[in-house]
Amino acid sequence: MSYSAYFQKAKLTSYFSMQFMVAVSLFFLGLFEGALSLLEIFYISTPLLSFAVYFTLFVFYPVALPVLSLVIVTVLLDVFFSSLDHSQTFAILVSLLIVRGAVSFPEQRDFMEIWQSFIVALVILLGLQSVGYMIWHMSFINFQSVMFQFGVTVLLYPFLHAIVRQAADLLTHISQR
Amino acid sequence: MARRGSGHAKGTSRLSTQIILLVISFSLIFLGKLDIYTLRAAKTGVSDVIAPLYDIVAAPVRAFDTMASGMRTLASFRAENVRLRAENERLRRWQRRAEILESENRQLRTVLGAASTTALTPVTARAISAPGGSFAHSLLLQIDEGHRIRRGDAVVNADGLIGFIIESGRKSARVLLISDVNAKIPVLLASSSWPGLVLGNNDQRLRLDFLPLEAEAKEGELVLTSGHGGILPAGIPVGRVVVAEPGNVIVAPSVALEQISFVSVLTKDEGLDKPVDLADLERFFGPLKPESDGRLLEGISAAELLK
Repeated sequence: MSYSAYFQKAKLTSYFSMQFMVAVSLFFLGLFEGALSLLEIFYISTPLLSFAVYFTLFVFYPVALPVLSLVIVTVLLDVFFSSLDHSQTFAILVSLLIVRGAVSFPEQRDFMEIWQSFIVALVILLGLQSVGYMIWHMSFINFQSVMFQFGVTVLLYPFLHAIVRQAADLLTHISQR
Repeated sequence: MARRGSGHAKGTSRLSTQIILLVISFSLIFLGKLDIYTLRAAKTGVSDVIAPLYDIVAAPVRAFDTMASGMRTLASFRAENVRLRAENERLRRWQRRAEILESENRQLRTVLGAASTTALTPVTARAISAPGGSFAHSLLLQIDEGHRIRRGDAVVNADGLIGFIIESGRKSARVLLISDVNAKIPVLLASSSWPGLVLGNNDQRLRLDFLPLEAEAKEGELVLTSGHGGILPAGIPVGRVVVAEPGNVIVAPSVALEQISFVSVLTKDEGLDKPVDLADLERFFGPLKPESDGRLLEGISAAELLK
């Protein structure tokens, strides 16, 4: 083996496709989100961190997160975290598809508009799940915990949005070098 | 023109994929409810695979929680010490009372020839998840391979009932908490023995319903499992009545469900129809060791008195 092999430029492209890596990262983010419930404050409801990231990726980087990846990741997390009601996958898919249809040219939009669209998507998600729950169980949902989840997720969205955009810019910058 | 046609075909294909995936995700809601064995096995298989990964991801959160609770304890160290001393004294009095009652209970059981129907073996497991959602209250247990945990086994800790097993895999099992909307536990009011049903509603409080019309629940009254239905053993504390109004009885769980770490799964031995072994009964339902003050009735029998 020659010494020159050690001084070859490292390969910056992964063998795994970008979409696969994004799906794996989202899966671990979902696990982390579930782990937050171990903290007493989030025992009843954790902030929907992964939904916020799905939204940003779905709207700004649709190539990185195809619908199939989204479904696979959400089904796995849905099966792992709640064994009885598998409505989350459907609700996430419906809310994201509706809002993506409404948000055209996201790069040209103000952040406040994007935030508003996220709130609409979140309302659709939690609304669908709540209605499904009430029909299925013939019982009222605990609105306090749903509102807590809604509020914390809305407040955290700007931070998550900034993190995802920065990470995407960084990865684009690295891959273009 | 050809490019426009290709773009249109691509758009149609994307739309049809989205519709198919929407239909699949919608049908999952119903498939989950059908309780098909293959699906259940697939779900437990997924949980078995993901549970170790989740345990790793949850480690920093758990460490943070331990650190935060440690700091809280340090801050209230003195007050906590005084409270614990008082509680210890109270518990000692209760222990003496419990020993006397257990001894009396055992003797009465012997006189009546009453026997418990089920032999239970406790298996210790670690809870690795918490509900974290408004729509389902379940938690996952990490267990050793070769266990005998089955669906329906009661899950308890020192304070009382936590829930029961709804899925049992190779290395993990899922517990439906008593606070879940699907949990309906047959119970008895401890002081009046009126039967009822404790219903979860995905909240930290439970509802006591289906009480007979003449039943009157009292605030502070203990609620125990009745054993009706044969799934859960009788006599496990479920909670205490905190609101006792006509038509609205609310129960606070005995167990702090948000602080569960280790639990005991009460597994049923093979063959529930086998005759009850009295030695087993002695082991599980025998009284605590008596103190040496000689005040207990333990050991006094007619034969000894006649001597």
